[in-house]
Amino acid sequence: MQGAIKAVALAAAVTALAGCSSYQQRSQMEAFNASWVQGDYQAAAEAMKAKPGFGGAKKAEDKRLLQVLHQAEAKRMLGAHAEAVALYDEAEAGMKLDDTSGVASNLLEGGMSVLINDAERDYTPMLAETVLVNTYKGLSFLQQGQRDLARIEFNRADDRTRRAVASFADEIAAQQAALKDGDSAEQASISDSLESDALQQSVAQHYGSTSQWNVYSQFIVPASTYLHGLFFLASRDSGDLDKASVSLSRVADMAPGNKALRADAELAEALASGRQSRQRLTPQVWVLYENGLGPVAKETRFDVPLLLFHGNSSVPAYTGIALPRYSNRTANRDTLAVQADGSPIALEAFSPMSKVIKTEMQSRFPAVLGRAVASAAVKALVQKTAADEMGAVGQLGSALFAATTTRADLRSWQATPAHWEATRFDRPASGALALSTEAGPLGELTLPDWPYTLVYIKRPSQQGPAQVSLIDLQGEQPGEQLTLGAVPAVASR
Amino acid sequence: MKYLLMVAGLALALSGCATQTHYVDTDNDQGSVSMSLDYRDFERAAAASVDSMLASGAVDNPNGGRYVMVVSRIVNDTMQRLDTDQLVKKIRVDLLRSGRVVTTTAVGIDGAEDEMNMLARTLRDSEEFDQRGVQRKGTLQAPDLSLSGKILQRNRQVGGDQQVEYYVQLSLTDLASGLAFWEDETQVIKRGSAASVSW
Repeated sequence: MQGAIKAVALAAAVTALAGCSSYQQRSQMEAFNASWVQGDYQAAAEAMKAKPGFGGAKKAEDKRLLQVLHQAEAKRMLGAHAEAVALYDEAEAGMKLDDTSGVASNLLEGGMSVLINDAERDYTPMLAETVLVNTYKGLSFLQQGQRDLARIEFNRADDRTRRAVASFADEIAAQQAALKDGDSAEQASISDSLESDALQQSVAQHYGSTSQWNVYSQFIVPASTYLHGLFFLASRDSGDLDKASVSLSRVADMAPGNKALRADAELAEALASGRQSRQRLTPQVWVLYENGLGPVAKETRFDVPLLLFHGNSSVPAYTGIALPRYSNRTANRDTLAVQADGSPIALEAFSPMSKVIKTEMQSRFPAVLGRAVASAAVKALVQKTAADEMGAVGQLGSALFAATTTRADLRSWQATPAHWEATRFDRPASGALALSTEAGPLGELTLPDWPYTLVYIKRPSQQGPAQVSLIDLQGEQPGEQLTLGAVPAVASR
Repeated sequence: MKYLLMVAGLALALSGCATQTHYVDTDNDQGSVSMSLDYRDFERAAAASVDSMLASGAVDNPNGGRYVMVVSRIVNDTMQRLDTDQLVKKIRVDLLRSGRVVTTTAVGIDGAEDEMNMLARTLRDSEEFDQRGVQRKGTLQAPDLSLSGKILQRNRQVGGDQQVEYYVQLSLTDLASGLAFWEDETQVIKRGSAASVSW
């Protein structure tokens, strides 16, 4: 009896702590998003400052990964590229720690995940987010005219994409192994429940069938692969054109009908094969527009039938689970118009983050569902035991614990866009490029006289300005960053 | 008091677990191997390249004397932030020791490696300096050979492991003819955990 009371007291304490940390995270994210949408990137970076750990010490990189990711992108938007790179380096160190943390740490995290919920684990970024980390770092290095360092980042982004398929399989295999390694009643309950038709039907009914999602045929962040291709297309080092051709063709294949992407793939192929001479190619300008706000996770709660072993019998019970469901936020409806020497140039949309995330979630869903079902089964068994040992008080306490801790992990990096838009054209004779939206002109750019110029625009919301970067894709010259629209233009070199 | 002793004991035990700093015998370093390139890989790659270069006869000057070599661009096409100078320096040292090649620091792909070559010549006509010791015009030696290369990295999944393949590719170009007199590739292949990225 005394043991059961202690267990319920411990559960209550854990619940309180879990609730407290979730509240802190939510309030940080709300403050970040409020500033991010307004284009106040300084305030956005401030909002995501990580709180110190025990005794005031700085937390390890993996414990403050989510904050660091948001801070890094806010700094990049401010044009503080050295700071952004340093923060992104910290984020990569955190990801590495998260991947390689020891067995004890993983067991503890896994236990917390099952006993409470996924949100109690250290933040593990989606693979799409890890790919974007290296892409943004690559852009920052190019902006600083550091082509050798940019090359490393684009190579890393490419390798992370390659690793994705194996990573998804590993996550699912690790979970299946955890269920098969023991023969406890809890493991049997979880395993049998997951395999039951009734549970699968319930999930399909309330969550929808993931097989029906509109996804890419394989994991890719098209915008990252596209930038990888552009970097190597502009490079003059031997062997790079083949890399460019592979990447740009892959992106074009993932977006059939997108003429801009197909034209880039054809250019890379022509240069790689020698059909097109680099010397005869007129200076080229790419405009890449990162538009709007990326999807965020929202919670979906519903009851699923679990097969709970109690003694020697299997008792069916309906228990609640919570799963993350990604919903789109808005892209800017205020279309970006580009004009060169009086001629309008159309941009074509590609790489919607919703599709990228769904492609990843579809592969990871069995693992996410498995953890949610494991958590629900354990809580149901705790409730049954508490009711048996402590009567109504135990039942009420454990039910309260289950209700408050059944939550989906809704954390994500919210500095990503809704989608990208791209176009390429010959550098206008005047070197002038006008940017405008339906609301009016954003500003005019003077394009540098580089053979391969990237105009990279990011505008999370129409309420905020557009951050415009002029980047030498060959990384030989430092770029220029401007803030256009909504606030007076400020240039920083 | 009992708790204080326990905490002190735990602290002592933990501090005892920390690795003590010690010197490494670089000729026989049996320390654990990482998936990234380390000094041992650079040493091996540089030694193999120099051996190959000397054995090929590409740096034997038929007119006698030493060739003058310039270091061109060594592209780091890996996923690691490497100092390619570390590799090149080892090659330069070994070549200099061979007595067949000397490296110029007066020219380089991003300007002179040692800017003093030109700065010292700005002392000409300065009344402050004894002009007998100032470098005369036409004394700098133009390079005969150029060393360029690329360090490539290819990662692949091999069963449950990750295989990281590094290729150190070097070319020695005769600047008179533009022909590559010598080319070589040294491979460094590592297989290890696939739990995380290789960098």
